[in-house]
Amino acid sequence: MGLATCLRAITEPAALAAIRLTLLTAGVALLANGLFGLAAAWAIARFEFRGKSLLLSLIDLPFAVSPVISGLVFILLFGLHGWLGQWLAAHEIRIIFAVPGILLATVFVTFPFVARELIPLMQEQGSEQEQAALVLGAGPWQTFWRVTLPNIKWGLLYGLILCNARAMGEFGAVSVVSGHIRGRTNTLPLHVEVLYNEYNFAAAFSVASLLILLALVTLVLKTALEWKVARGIAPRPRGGHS
Amino acid sequence: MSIRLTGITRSFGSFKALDAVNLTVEEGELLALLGPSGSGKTTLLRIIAGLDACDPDRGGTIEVNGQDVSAMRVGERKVGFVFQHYALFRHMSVFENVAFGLRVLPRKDRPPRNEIARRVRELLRLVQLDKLEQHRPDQLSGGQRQRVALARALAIQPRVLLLDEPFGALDARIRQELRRWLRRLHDELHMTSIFVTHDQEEALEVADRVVIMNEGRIEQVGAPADVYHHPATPFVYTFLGDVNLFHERSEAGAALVALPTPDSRSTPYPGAAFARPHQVDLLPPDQTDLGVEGIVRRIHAAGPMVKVHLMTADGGDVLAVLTQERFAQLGVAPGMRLRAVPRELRAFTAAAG
Repeated sequence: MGLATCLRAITEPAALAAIRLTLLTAGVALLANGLFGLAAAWAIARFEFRGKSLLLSLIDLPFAVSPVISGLVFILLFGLHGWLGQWLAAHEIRIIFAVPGILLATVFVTFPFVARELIPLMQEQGSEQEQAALVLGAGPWQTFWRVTLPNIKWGLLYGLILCNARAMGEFGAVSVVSGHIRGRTNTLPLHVEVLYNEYNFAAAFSVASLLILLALVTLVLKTALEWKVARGIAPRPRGGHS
Repeated sequence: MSIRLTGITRSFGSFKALDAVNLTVEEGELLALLGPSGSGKTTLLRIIAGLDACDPDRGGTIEVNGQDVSAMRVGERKVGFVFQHYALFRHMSVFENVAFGLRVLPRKDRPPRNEIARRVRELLRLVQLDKLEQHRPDQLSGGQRQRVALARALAIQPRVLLLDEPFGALDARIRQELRRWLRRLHDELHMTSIFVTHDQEEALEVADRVVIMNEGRIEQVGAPADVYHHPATPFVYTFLGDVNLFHERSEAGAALVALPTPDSRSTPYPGAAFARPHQVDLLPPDQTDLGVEGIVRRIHAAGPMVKVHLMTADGGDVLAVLTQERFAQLGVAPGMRLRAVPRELRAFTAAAG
């Protein structure tokens, strides 16, 4: 297999579309789960409220069910014959077999990474530093940017790295809702599968090598972060979920 | 600044952490809130700071210099608060920790950069940490962290300084040093200060006045010598030092000082009278019929005074403190029979009505 073949497989339009979609999906998942994870962890670690354990269970749900089932649940909700299917069709909103479905499925599957990383960290740190900031006259946003966020930034980064790796590599849930429309709803892992099923092994392995590269980058980042933590520069993140 | 608290009540569910507390703190004094854990002292401190609020339906008020601050947010009250575990910002250097309160000021009130630096360095000199300004909190000892926390609280030029168990997390030697240092600092700054402690020695040694709290109420307020020598309630008497209980007046043979207490809640030992260990004499049984007889169980002779524990016939424990001379003269040894005779006794009777 020549280098030229490999490059051609990666740069042909369908592959480029898959790369773009994967990057978009990962970006949306990072943003959504970064914000959601922070908000959920903050609420859970700082306050007592009714339904807290329910919220915790909901956060864990994506880890508990198989991604394929998650995808099927989305079909059940938004598919043509699903609960909201008729309404969506009437308003010409396409979720299933379209990009929004892929984004939803990915965000759902990567839901727990950031929150699960931050909850124990914030519980352990407690709220004394934040109280100290308030007494010293800082407003809520100043307290968040100057005290809360710097204290959890390494844990947040760790959660985001794991979230990113999963978002780019997710196959099961995305496969169900995607419809495998080449050039439009194929992410990188789906594109690899399509190529493989077409016996186009050279192209399949070429594109797969891109995903392997991503895995390597993730591992390097994760190791660098752990090394930094071990040297005592950053507070220790919790054990990751995988 | 003076502080006036009226009718402060705070409940957590059915538990009353504070029950209609009234307290006035004079301008420039160093006040100790002393009590066992769960007595409500930390809750009271947090309410003054604005970190906690009293029950809204009970109408308590907090005045600082005559101004009602109950409705003010915590950041507007301009109190310096030193947390029990310091709560230093661990991602910031010592310098940045102290500068924090100045950096978060709204732009119009914020001093220029070099003025902030000047004030931070001045405070660090005051707490003798000027050489460590670039260190991180986790590179400091407990006593140093405590002083950083104090400098950080002082940086906003607070109207009052509140300290929650300021020496609680330190070992005994550092505690002693820091105590005296805090007293000297207070004498220099003359800032109205309140500190919470469960250590009666600490409160009596450092404070101008001591507030003794129990079960959400104030038992007594007074100067250290005053509360020590004239305890208002049995709780204060037992909390401020070692104590011996004599159940029958006939055991006494000493002038009984009966003190009226404001309510019967404070007399858990009806018919009992108290004497401090240094107010108890030990005599051989053939020399007196007074007091109670007991057998010497334990002796602590290391120190300027000797502590002798007696066990009485009914299983009670009496502690006497003797001078080394008296100890040698009596020839006290474990197993010896002696009579414990109080020179002075205090009893608490419920006030009429």
